Formats: sequence, structure tokens, C-alpha cells
Amino acid sequence: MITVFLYELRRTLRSPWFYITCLLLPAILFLSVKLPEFIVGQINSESQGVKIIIDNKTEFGELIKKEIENDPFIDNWEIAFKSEDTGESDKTIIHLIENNDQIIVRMKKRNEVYESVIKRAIENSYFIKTLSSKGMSRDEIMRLKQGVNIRFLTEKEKIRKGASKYMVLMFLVVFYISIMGYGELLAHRVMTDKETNFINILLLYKKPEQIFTGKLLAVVSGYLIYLIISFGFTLLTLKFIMGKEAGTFVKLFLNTGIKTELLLFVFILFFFSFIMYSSFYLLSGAIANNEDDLKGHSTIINFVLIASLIIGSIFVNTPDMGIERLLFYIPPVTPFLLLKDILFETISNFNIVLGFSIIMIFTLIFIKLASLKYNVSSLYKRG
Amino acid sequence: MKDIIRFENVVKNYGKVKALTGISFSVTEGRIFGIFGPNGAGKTTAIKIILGILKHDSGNVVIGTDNLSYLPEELSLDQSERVKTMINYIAKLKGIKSKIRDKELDKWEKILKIKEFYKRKIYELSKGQKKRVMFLLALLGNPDIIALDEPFTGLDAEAAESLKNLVTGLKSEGKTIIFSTHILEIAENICEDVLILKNGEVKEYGEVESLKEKYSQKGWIVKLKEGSIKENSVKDMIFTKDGKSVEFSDNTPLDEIIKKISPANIVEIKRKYPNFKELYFKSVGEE
Repeated sequence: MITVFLYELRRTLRSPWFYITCLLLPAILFLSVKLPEFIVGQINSESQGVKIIIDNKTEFGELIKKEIENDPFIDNWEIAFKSEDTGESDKTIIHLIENNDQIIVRMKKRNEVYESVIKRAIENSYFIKTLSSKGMSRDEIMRLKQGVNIRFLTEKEKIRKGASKYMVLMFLVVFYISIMGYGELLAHRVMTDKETNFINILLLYKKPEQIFTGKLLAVVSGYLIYLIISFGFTLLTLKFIMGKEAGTFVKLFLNTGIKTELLLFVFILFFFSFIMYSSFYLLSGAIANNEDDLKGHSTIINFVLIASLIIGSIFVNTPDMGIERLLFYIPPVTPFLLLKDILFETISNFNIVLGFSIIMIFTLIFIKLASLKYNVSSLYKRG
Repeated sequence: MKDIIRFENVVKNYGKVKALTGISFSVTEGRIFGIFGPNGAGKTTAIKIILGILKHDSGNVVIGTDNLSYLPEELSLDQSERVKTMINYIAKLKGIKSKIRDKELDKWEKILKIKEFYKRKIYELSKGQKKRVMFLLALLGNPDIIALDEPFTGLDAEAAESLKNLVTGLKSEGKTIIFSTHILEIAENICEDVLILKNGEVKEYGEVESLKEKYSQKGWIVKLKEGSIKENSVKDMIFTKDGKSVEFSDNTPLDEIIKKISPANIVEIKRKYPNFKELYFKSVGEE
């Protein structure tokens, strides 16, 4: 298995598309940051700037100011509590304009990072103001706030989702694009081995299970290496496009409020889920006789994965219901619901073990099914 | 010599298609054994069962070694890989240590001459060079049985000749060679035993020479002294195409032949056997 694994991993890492995809995420990030900034910049140059209406009362003004001043990400900004406009400036300045009716955050240029920080300051202020009146200390309030899904709604404009939600969404999208790409690569390799008769050479010396496990792990490991390289390139891109603010952005992005041990669970879940989904593609490659067969199979698997993504997304924000428990036992959906439950800490240790068991058992079943396609005899010892 | 392969009533079906319908044969160690038959006869199925990469449905298969090697009819290696990488990969799959691998490479280099393109990628090789590489891959690990499925297909005369020499050379090392081919002329020269299949059934099986005897037309060929008898000067005699020999049916007594031609005109008298081609086509029932 190790020989097949090392050879296949080498194949993955040597292919030019591997490096192209490594650059894909930073490129998307670059465009996603620069393009809206460019478009918004164009709009703002003709308007007075973006206004976020925070509240209809001024009672939180001072608290918000304190919160922003205490914020570790605030260093690079200027804050002013003024009612007059400062006019044109190269710097991004946040104005908290107080009047009798409302608090308005005004920015010269729309900036998602700044907006998130402001939003968080407002959220904290709201909690402090509201709960301190009931005799709770700030620390107690902040502890209480952790893990609570705050929806800070303005009256006229949509509030952007918090960094944690953004991360989960990004995670899911990247995960699904990756699994489809890498899964199809795996299926193609398995099918090609059959088409070129190379599988018959491999089968002389290794059991089908060993061959397939080696290939599967090689593709998943290739993907993990891709993630590391891609993450490195992404940081470099951030540094390039955002300068000093890159660190702030990364901190914000990673500031999910999720405990470290939970993040570890999420990573392990990610790894095992990737292997399980890849095993679907492995089976499709093993039963396909040609390229057309493979396309047909991949379409079905992609459809199942997208359906699982949609079903899983529906349940991310809904309370626990009976149907969710039922869906938990359907392998393509299990990773989603397990992810949600782990992130929101709404799962028992038993169910975590159960969820992982479902994923692992179905992975082994799919590897076994793929192996059965190769009806080898037990005349010789392979290994 | 003992049997290294034994098939007893081996059956293999692919769904409703009967690939092998209870065939029996055995292969003696150190022999060159040819499996012949038209397309769909069950040759590749038989070879795959020998190699253990295909399970038979019923019957007994006994193989006297674990060390087998295979060169499929159409084997395509990863085109972007270098020859050396491919050799190392297969050697590792076979569990060969690097020192032994290098010794084996040196040994086969004299015949296959592959080192010159070790660093080349597979797609940069000619068809003959690829075949040599694949042959080397099959030879690595000093296998006892080497199964070659249509090894001569697509080779030019020179490459086919050198491959033929290699196969006969392997025999001298005590290897058992199993191969199938459509090129009957080559088979005739190197095969010692044959199995002729059609529709999954054994049509003929045995030593090539014995089978030739079986299918012989019981005839005589008399080689004449040059210029002794001219083709047009006699009746009741059938001359060979070159006009240098005369053919007689087997029921013609030898003394009558000698009397008819006169000993002074005879260089040699030998039995006339059908060639392998005739043997093959007669056994599969095709002309």
C-alpha cells in the first residue's frame, strides 16, 4: 500500500494543474477583495459614503467608542465623533456621528474588515449595556456572549454575516469544489489503470484493497499539501493586497469563537469526510469502463454531494429536529450535520463517535465494493 | 520435469458469456507454452486465471510458484513518467531490493539495451523501445513463470526477432514461458507445447511435434539431384513449388518411390508434415 501511496502522491504533486490550483485560491481572494473594493470605490466617489444605521437611540454611543478603542484591530484607524464630514482623505476614517435620532457609522470607503470590527463593537456594547444593568460584570457578560449567535439587525440595511459564518461557508464551498476536483482525479486514475491494463500488473503483487487505499490516501494527502501551499500563497497575496491590515484580516477570519479542541475535531472530520467522499469517486472509477461511463458516474456523485450540501446548509441554522437525526445516518449528509453539531457544541461524545464511525464504515464499504470489481483469486499471497 | 501449471475442468463465465467451458491442461516447468485461438477463444482469460488476477468459477487450478510475471497485450505506462521511475516503481511493487534490482538491470541490459533511455519519458520512446521497457518490467524479480499476451504484436521484423531470441534465451534459464500470439510463424519456431482454444473449449493440446504428426498427411518429400529429373518430363509425380523435390502420398511404399525415381537421382527422403499454420487452422475448423 505504501509503495502505491508514494507513487500516486508523487504523481499528484508533479502534475502542473496541482500548482495551478494552488494559485487559484489566492487569485479568487485577490479578485474578491479588490473587485468589490474597486466597484464600491467607483460608486462612493459619487456619493457621500456608505452609511450603516446602527440604532435609533444614542444610548450606546459611548460604549461603542470604548469597545472600538479597546479593539486590538483598531490601531490603523482614526475615529472621530463628529457630525461634520472631514472631506476627501486617503485614509479610511470612521466617523461615529451622533445626533438625537441615530448613530451613524460613516466610512470614506467601504471595507468589510472595518465593518466587521464595528459590528462586533456594537454587539459587545449592546450586551454590556443591557446586561450590566442587571448587575453582571463585563467578563461575565463576555463569557455569556460566547457561543451565542448574535444577529445585529439594522433597520434599513442588511448586516453582513460574521466572520465565523463566513468561514464555515467558505470552508464548505472550498471543501466541495475540492472534493469534486480531487475525487474526479481519483476516479480517472482508477479507470485509466484499467483501460491501460496497468491494474493487471498491480494486481499481481498487491490486493485490490491495498491498491485503492494507497490511491485514496495519496489523493487526500495531495489535497492536504495543496491546502498548505495554497494557504501560504493566500497569506502572501493578503500581505500584498492589504499590507499591514492583512494580519487584522486573518485574525478576524480565524476569530470564530470556536474552541481550539473543536477546531481539531473539525479538521479530523474534514480529513475523514474527504476520504469518504473520495471513496465514492473511487468506486465510480472502478466500475467505469470508459470515459463516458466515468462522466455519467461523476455527474451522479456531484449531484449527491450538492444535494447533501444544500440539505446540510438548511439544517445549519435550524434547531434540532427529528428529521435531522434521521439524516445524520445518511453518509453523504453525516459530515455536514456532524460539523454543525461540533461547531455549536450540540452533540454528545457518543454521537461524535457514531458520526465518525458512519463515515469510516462507509469508506471501507466503498473501498471493498471497488475491490470486488476486481475478482482476483487467492492462488497467491499478495501484500 | 514437473508440471508447474495444472488446469482441471476450469470454468469461467462473464455473465451469460462462457469464456472457458471446463478446460483441462498442464504446463511442464521450463517449457515454452503457446495458447492459441481466434478472438474470443478464452486465451487472455486463461492467462489471467494462471496469474491469479481473475478468479475462475469452478474447477481446479494449481500453480507451482508464487513468482509470476505478466506482460499484457496492450500495456500503457504512465506517459509522463521517466523510464527509470517506472522501473523503480515496479521493482518496489515486486518487493525487489535496490541492490538486487540494479544487478538484474545490468544482466538484462546486455540483451534489452535500455540504459540509454533511462532518463527519457515514456512518451518519448518508440513502440519497440516501449516494448523493451515493458519486457524488462516483466523480467524483474527473476520470475519462474512469464506470461506474455500477444508480445509480438506491432513489432517490426527486427524487434520481433530479438524478442524471439530473448524468449528462447529465457527458456535456457529454466523459465516457463506462457504466451499467446496471432503470429503463427513465430509460434512455430519457438513453441514446444500448445493449447488451441475456440469458444472456450480446448481444440488441441500437446507437444507441437506430436500434433504435427497427428495432423500430418502421411506423405514423403524426395529431394532430387539438381537437373536429374525435369518437371515436365514425367507424369504421376507432384513437384514442390521450387521444382527441386517431389511429393508422394503416405500410402506409396518407399521401395516404389526409390524404384520410380532411381537412387542415383535422390539426395534425401523425408517425412512431410503440415506446418503449424495448417495444424492451427485444421484444429479450429477453419481453412
